[in-house]
Parts: sequence; structure tokens; C-alpha cells
Amino acid sequence: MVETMSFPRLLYISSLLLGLAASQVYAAPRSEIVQGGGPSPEATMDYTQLFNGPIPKISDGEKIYANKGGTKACRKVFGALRRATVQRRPAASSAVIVAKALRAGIKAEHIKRTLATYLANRDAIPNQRFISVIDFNKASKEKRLYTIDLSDGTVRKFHVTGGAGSDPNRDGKMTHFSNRDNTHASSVGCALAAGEYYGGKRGTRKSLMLHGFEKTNDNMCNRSVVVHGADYAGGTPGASWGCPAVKPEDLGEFIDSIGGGGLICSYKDGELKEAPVVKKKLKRRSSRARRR
Amino acid sequence: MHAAVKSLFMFSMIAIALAIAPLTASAGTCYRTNAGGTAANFEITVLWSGVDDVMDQIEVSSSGVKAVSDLNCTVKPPYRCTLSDDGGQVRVLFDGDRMKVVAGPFDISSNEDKSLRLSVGGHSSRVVHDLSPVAPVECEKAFPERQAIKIF
Repeated sequence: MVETMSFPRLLYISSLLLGLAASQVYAAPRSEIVQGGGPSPEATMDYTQLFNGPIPKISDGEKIYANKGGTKACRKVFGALRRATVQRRPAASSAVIVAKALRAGIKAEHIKRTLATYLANRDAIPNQRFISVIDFNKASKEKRLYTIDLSDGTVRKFHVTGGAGSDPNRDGKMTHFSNRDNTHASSVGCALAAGEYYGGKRGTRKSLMLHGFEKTNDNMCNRSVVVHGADYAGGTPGASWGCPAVKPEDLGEFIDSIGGGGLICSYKDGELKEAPVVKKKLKRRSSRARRR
Repeated sequence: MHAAVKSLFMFSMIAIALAIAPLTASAGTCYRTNAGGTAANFEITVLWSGVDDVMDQIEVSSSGVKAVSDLNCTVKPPYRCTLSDDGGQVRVLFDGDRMKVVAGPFDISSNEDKSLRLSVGGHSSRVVHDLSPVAPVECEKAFPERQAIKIF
């Protein structure tokens, strides 16, 4: 067949095949989908003006992988995230983003902390297009997962599950949160969403890994807390084992938005505050040490 | 002209092969319990990929019902793996060419969407499952879909 094929036709087919192969392997990462260029005005803004409180740092997420800790898949993906070359992408002003988020029903504290975390860690967040917020104060039947398009502040809402361990009464109110294995509880805090794979069940379950970088959620990836599709999202409270699962029909849109290293922060009132008891103990110890 | 066409064609084929190579997952090794050699009549098959960006997997079958879950495993021994479906933990030990899976009792249940979920019991009762390596063909049959994790 090769013998009878004309040279231009063969050249055309070869180049088509080459192009196809190259496009699969060297597909442009989402972080490089940059329109326009140069940092936007608020990139240099002092994020402390936006949120008056401690802002988490992505570099803190590395602690769990010290001394070969963590799992091999999580280690590999988080390492790649930390090495990624990030190009800043122009965004709408913080005021526009906050105003649109408030109008969509996101709590002021949540959007401001998430946006401040984004701005403080901006050069380490590969996906510069979307950020996401989960409000675990709301019941599971409500749409409590939000994606915010940073280019114009557009907000989209989705149903999302909480962990069965967070809602032991199965009444839709989440009361327990954990960063530990086997608790089946959801975690609060900020994470980067990266690492798509087709797992379990004959590779039919598309999943997106989550890499927490706060004390309250830095074990998320190792616990296999991932975003996946589930029919029970929006229905039965506390139905997952800690994964923020979305409706199967929403999964594609959500992964396309926030995957590739997007920031996602989960909140429940009172859960991110430092425990005052620990502070008191530390003070007592240090005063004893001084006496000695 | 003829030689040029042939060499161009060969070059294209080599380029395509090189380009696609990183997409195909490493074969890895599969281990399976010996027939009737495990408690509660469970047959367990484990894919130990040996590659960072391919999730290890476990398949548990009992009375004709099969459930598959990812195993998110630690980097160094003693290997501790988390079941993606359940968040439960299993330990994996190697003894020569044999694998031991130490875990609480396995359970296969049905999700609300009728899919099967594999879960593992707590620390109170532990079962040691003894597994032997299986042929690559059998491994391929047990875990036909093994795709690398896409980071970006």
C-alpha cells in the first residue's frame, strides 16, 4: 500500500498523524492559556487589606512530604505543582470579584479569605482563571460549591457532598471535620486541585486530586479525598467518605474550571480558628521553663 | 524519490511511537490470592504499578460480585495504602516474590447510584491475605484501564 501511495498524500497523512500525536503529548497546560499579558493592577495590591487574618501559604503543604512522607502519587503531583512555571493572567478587580460573589450568596469572609490566599500565593497557583469556595455551613441539598471566574467575577454554583463522618446524624448539618484517615470526614481549608485520573471501577471514575496546604487539610491527597462524580450529590446528607463529590453532569465543567492547579477553599464557621487551649498550655510551659 | 518516501514514512512512525510512549502506563505487577487461600472466600487481586503517576489498584471479588478501588500508597516500606472509595487503610508487605495484604475485613456494598463500593474494616480485626504474582496477561485482563495521572 505504501508503494502505491503518492508522495504528497503520504506526506499529508504523515504530518496529520504527527500533529495528532504531538497535540496529545504536548497539549498546552491550562496555566499557559494566557490572554493579554502582564500583571493586572491588583496583582501588586496588599492582600492584607482584603482579609485581616492569617493567610495560608502553599509552601506549607510541602511539610507532609518531608522524609519521604505522603503517598507516591500525591508526592509526584504536588512536586510538579511546586515546580510549575506560572504565568500571571489578568483578572477583574478584587472589588468586582467580591461584589459578584456576595450577590451570588458567598459569605464575605469566605470570598475575601480565598481571594487573599490567591493573591498571596499567586505565583505558585498554575490555574489563574478560576478559584472555588465550598460553604459547609449550608446543607447538602443547597448549592454550596462555587466557582468564580477571575476574569470577570462570574460565579457558578454546584451541589457538593460532605463526608459521612462530618454529618453523623445524617441531618444535613456538618459538625465534625478532620484531616485524618478513616474518619470519613470532610476537611476545611485551602487546597490546590490538580491531578486528573480515571480511577477505580474499571477506570470509569474520573477524579481530581486535592492538595491541602493548611494544618486542617494537608492530608487530603494522602487520604484520597478527591473530586468525583456521584448521583447522591445534592441528595442524601453525608453520603461520601470525605470527598467533595459533585453531580456527574457537573463534573466535567468543574474539573475543566478548577483543575490544572486551581485554588479551592472549604469553610465551616469556627473550624479554622486556632484553639485557645493550646496557646494557654504553651504559655504555662514557657513560664515554668523560665523559673527553672 | 522512493527511498525518500520510505524514510519519511519510517521517521513519522518512529516519531509517533516516541510521542505516544509516555502516555502508556507501565505494566506493573499483579498479585492474586491463591484459590481458597484467604478468609471469607474473598479473591483479591492487586496491581502494584511501581510508577509514581499510575495509581495502584485492588480488586476484591466474592460470590460473583467484584469491586475495584484505587490504592494510594506510601513511597517507602512499610507500605500503607488508602482505598480511594473508602478512605480505609491496608498495609502491603513483600516477602520475596510474594505480597501480603494486611487489612480489616473487606466489604462490598452498593452506592445509591448502584455502583459497587469497596470498604475495609477498622483496626480491631486484621486479616492477612497471601498473594502470589500472576502472569502479565492475567494482570492486563484484571486491570485493563491504567491511565497515568494528568497533572496539567
